[in-house]
Amino acid sequence: MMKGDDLDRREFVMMLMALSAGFAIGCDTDERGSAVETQLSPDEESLKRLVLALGPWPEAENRRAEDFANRFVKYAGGFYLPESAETIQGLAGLLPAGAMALEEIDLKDLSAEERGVLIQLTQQLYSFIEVRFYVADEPQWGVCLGDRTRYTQAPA
Amino acid sequence: MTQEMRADYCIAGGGIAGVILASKLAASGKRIAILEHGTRFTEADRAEMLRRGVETLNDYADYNDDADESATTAHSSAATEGQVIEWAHQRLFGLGGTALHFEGIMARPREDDLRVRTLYGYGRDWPIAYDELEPWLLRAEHEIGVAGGEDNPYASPRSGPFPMPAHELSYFDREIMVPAMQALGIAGHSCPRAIASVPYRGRSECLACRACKFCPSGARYSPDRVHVPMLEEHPNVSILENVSLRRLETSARGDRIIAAHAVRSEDETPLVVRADRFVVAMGGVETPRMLMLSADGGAHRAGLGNMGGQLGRWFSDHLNPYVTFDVGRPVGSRLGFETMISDHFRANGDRRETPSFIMFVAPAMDWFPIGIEATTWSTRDDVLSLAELRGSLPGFATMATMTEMEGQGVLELDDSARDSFGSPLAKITLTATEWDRRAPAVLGELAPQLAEAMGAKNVSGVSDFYPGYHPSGGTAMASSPDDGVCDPNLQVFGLDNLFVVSNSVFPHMGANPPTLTIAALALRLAAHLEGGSA
Repeated sequence: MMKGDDLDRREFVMMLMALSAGFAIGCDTDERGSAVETQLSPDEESLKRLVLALGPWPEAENRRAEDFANRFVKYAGGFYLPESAETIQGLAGLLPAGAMALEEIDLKDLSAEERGVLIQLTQQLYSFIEVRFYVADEPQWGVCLGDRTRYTQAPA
Repeated sequence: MTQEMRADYCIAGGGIAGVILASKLAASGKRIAILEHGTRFTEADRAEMLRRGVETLNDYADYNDDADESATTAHSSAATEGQVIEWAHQRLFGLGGTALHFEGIMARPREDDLRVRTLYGYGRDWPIAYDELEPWLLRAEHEIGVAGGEDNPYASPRSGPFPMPAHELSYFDREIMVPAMQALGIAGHSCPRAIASVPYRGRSECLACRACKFCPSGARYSPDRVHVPMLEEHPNVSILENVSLRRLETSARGDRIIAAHAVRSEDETPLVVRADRFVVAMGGVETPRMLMLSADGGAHRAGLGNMGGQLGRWFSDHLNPYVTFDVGRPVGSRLGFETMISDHFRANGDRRETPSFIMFVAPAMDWFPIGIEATTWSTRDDVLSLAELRGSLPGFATMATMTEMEGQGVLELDDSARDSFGSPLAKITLTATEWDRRAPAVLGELAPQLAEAMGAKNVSGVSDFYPGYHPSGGTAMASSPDDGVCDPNLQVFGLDNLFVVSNSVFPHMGANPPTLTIAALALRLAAHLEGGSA
């Protein structure tokens, strides 16, 4: 243990590994660290539906997708709400119920505002490290692989 | 109530320069006081920053996120093309300084980087030759622990090997990028990194955590993990965190510094440090600012060492334009940092016409918003194909460059904006000259050629320039006050006991990142201070 530290690097790494499991539970923690269900407003619920539809997670990964979408609404939702709430609601209304990982979206009949929000949301979503790593089948950011040759090998 | 302390050396700044310097002076037994404006980050802090970054989807989580900006001297700057450069966000306050989060590229200067005025007619020559600097670069590589190879055909001579082997090239570098570059006559070579490729002096080898800013394995050098623990073994060394130096006081005759006046951030208690020698090691912005804030009413009325009007002049940085490729096939996994670099454009081309630059390519790096290109390239005929977008992302690569600048910037005090202590902020005006902008133009021509050579599906245009990482030049070393602020031994002109060490002492900065050179100059200064000459 380093001087002045209450956590050495081994514990640091173990803590990060535990995180990846913690993030899959799809709920927030309260101030005491207890799990609580996320309560979303109708606007936030619409934004969440859009994230799930645009995102890469299939239905089988629903818990992971929900977890990400909840965090997105909480921490990045301010880019879209409340300013574009009406547009978000309109876009969400076009989605089939429970849509996840859509293959494509026809932009032709969307208004300029709807199109702008949809494109911006997609750009932002696929810039996040967490999403990019998921799509590329890359283990979670910050979790030490130990394997020093993985990056030298031809992709599967 | 004012506190006073006495030391042999007072070092202002606990970044890489300050702590390496102190670590070499410590064995002398002399009393050393290190004043650091920021705090000390623990391993728990690092883990929490990373955890919180993941939880809040903040891919840019960093060490100073919770710092009071008014206390960390956030400042305005003017830049070309409407782009505001915020040096406040790239440099860090805290034990370890900006090296807490640096990428660890430890490229050396080339011989000609030190003679640009003589050879090419721009910038300033260094007052020392490469042969004088080279042994210190080598020592710095060993001191820091640099993984590197001898495969760089463009490098200037070196007098010894790296302390450990380079990181093996990635699949992408080896199988895709090297052949593409070779087709254009460009050699790629290993990138020297302050990231251990094998266990080194108690540090782990890299464990591919791919979050190098926080480096969970400890493989990347960070001053607070390597040199600060060494300093703590010495009872003659006092590390004072959260102590902000406000000014240096000159003697009545104006030929010495007699005291450093500081404030403890937590309770605003004044602290006066009296020492035989003072060293300002506060980085490329704060070092010149401190010399300005310490102006007296006598010989140094325009700032310490500013008899020739050179303080804050010739301020420079790097431009960092980049491009994104959709290679069209998977580019493989990542290690978290680029394993290949090329100095081709440092050694080839007429520098009278075009600035030199380094280039490095990798599977799309973490901090580049590639979703923008991916979305654009997956939209056709009014249809956004998300399936295509997802399928393309594993084939994305980014090429970043770091280009030298002429150094036409000015750093000055801004009386219209003050920090929380009431001191004027630094105002930097850095305009990219027409010559500066030619390097991004070369990149704009090169990128499509590389894309074609690697069989890429798409290539973006050149990004904005993004300077702000490597401020330099504000207190340059020179042979006389007419050309700089300190002499070749880093002693401030006109002051017997004041020294400066940071990238602010570079008369000119080539395309290489500055950190290795900063460390080399710190080692050289330590030898000078203890041995009488460097």
